[in-house]
Amino acid sequence: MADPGTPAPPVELDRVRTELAAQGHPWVMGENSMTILEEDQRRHRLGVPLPPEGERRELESQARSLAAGEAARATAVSGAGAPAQFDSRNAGGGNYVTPVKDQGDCGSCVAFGTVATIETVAAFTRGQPGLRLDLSEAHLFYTHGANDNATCDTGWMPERALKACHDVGVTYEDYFPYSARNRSGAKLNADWPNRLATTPSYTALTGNPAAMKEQLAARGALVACFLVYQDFFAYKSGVYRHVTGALAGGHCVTLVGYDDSQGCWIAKNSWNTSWGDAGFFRIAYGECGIETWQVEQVGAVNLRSWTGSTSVLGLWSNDQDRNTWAYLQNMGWLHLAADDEVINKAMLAELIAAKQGGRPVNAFSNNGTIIETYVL
Amino acid sequence: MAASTSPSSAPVTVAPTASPDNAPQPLTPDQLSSATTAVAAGPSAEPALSPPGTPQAALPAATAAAWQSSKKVLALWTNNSPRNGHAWVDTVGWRRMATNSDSVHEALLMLASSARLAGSITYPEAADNLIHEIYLW
Repeated sequence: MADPGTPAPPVELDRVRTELAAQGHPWVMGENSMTILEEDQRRHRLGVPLPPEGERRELESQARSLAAGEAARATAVSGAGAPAQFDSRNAGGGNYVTPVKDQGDCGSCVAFGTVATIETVAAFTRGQPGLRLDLSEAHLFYTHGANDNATCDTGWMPERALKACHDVGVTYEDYFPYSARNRSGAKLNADWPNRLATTPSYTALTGNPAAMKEQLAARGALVACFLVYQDFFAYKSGVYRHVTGALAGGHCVTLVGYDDSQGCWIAKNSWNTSWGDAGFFRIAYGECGIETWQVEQVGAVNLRSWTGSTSVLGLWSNDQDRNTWAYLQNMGWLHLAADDEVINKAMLAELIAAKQGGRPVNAFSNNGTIIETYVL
Repeated sequence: MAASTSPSSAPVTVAPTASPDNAPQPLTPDQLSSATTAVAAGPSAEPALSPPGTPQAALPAATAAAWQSSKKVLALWTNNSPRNGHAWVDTVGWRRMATNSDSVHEALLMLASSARLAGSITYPEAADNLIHEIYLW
């Protein structure tokens, strides 16, 4: 969030250009959807309240110090917990990152960074790049955030957002479509408890870049906050390092990878695909407090919803009672309801029929268990 | 003919050479050889493999179990003895479904029966020659 006490001068493209040239072009700048905005509109895209100046300096200093250690570790013999490079957009040939969105003129970046992380973790941990989960930033920000006194003008913090995702959950986009400041007047669908993603666990990884890499490679995405300086608005490609410009505010994004050879994190922003590298950016290790302000990991994602029309690709059972599973396309393995013997066998019989006949299935799953099925 | 407790005959195309008796027919050397295909994963409480053609999930630690992968089921057999359903697995022969309980036996036999009509099964060979786990693809 912008610091109201220290209004920053607007982005000066010529000065950014000059500084980048003077420093050997560490990254590429360009005019984009952010640079053409008025300064107050731009700063409304930043939605993490800034800590006091002393704390800001400390977290940036810590980040640089950690980055120095991380660079040394990255050049050491492999065997540490994480690979040297990871990108959820191409992990084992699959793209687990959902499309880039646009938060508009509302300091709701925490909702976007958090939701995008949940969407990727849900797909990655299921091994399902085709999951295409689309959750509601509006529900997270305009309902849960509002209940926590967050507004488009105050911003929020990822830890608070994740607590809401853990305690209550977030519904799907079609049940509460997002618009900046909810100008569309959308309302939360009353059936939202039956179309819901929840995060049973989340953990702070702040200040631990080695753990950040391990968890990125294991779960696909993390939530992270960093300090935004004016030059960042003009980023187009390359590995971002602050070269010039005043502090503009705090921002929250989703980390989707890293690259030790370039010494950077790969992040998904929420400023539309017309900003940056198709909506993504790379930021150097230790830059702008990216590792030391607030980094959060989502352990797992539970989904409660109808699958929509899908197919049965596999079925499984073993020598444990009522331990039958179905592999649904783009959903992965789901346990069949095991409330009693008849329920379990009835569901298995119907799903076997669907598989044999190649018939479409619509199943209602709750936290990995199918509790109702249609075979059409 | 007295009722038997194991398959007494099989379709011509898969008929074992030995005479029917009260135990599954012995495997031929070729069948024994085919039963040592790639080790993939040990029995588990939940499925670990992914269907052919989909992203493969991380496998559990390998064990000594030999897996039969994507095998056709060419025949089925059962009689009026409890938990006595068998499936003839292509290149393997008769395999009885695990007998831990009615629930277990019935679920495994449902999967094997489906494979007789369409698809294939993947399962780990076990020392007791029973099928304790089935993936139906």
